Amino acid sequence: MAKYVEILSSIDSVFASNDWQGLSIPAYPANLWPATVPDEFVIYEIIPSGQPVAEYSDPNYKGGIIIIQLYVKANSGPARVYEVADELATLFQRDLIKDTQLYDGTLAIKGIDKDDTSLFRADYSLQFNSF
Amino acid sequence: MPNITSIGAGMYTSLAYIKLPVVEGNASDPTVDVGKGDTPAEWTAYFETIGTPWVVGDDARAFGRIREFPNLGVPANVVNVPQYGQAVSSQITGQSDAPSMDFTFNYVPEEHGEIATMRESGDTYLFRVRLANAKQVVDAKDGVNLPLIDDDGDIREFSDFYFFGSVASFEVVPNLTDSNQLNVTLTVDGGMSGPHSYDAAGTNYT
Repeated sequence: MAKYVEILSSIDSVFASNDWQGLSIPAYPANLWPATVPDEFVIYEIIPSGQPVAEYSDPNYKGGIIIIQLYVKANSGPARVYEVADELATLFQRDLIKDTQLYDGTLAIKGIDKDDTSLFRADYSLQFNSF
Repeated sequence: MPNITSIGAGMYTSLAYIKLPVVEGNASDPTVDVGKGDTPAEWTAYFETIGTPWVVGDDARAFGRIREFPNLGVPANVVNVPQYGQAVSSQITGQSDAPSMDFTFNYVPEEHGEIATMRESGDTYLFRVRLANAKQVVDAKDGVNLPLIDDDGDIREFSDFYFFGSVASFEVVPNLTDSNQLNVTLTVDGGMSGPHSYDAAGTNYT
């Protein structure tokens, strides 16, 4: 029985974990932009708009994609983005978090952020199914 | 209004069976065996006791988490017969082959272990496919779908199909990005009986 809030709380729990906190990279959910913009941070949003696993009766499964926006300092080269992406892959890729099963991640480099040119952005995306 | 009266997606269709041995003719005792010669109303009584609320039968069990249903029914066996002097042959209906039906499940080993046991035994059971377009009441213990009375006091429509059969195959299909699946083939002993249904008073078997 996967509710939307349960999917959100399952991803919240990863960013609240000691594994992520130890990296000292602030993580914010969607619709929460930091008042003081750090040098590097991530924003994660969950889009449960995918086709859930088919089943008769009333299974209430969810499917979709999780997009984690990575922001690092602009004009500092690409390496830091890939390092953070590796950390995210370690935490999320092919993992089962509560009832949410995550698949292989993909990294898309977006370049200098349009709204804040002091930031360089990449998106780390994972498909998921929640049961 | 027992049987389904309008078109719709049968998204609440379910499969259940009776965990009792099957005998030819009539059952000796409803708590001991199931008779092939019994009436649909008597078969229904194995699955549920009609009332308010409905109560699931002691020996009724469900096959939960069904992903795909097969064609339900007996396929035609049309035989072409040459006619001397005619440009076009004739056709007759031959004896139909008993159907085998392939079901696909979202596999949960703990939940579907009973199906493997049924395949190993090779025993015949009474099965019921309940075709339902709207939500039914699902018994918490055995997962059998029971009729639901809505807020207006009307019984939600459903149509039942009964058949006797056994589990012939049990195949697990692991999956990388989808749920693991289970393919199960039921071989059918004889034909299918249905559609059957009833109203809140327990009548109107059709």
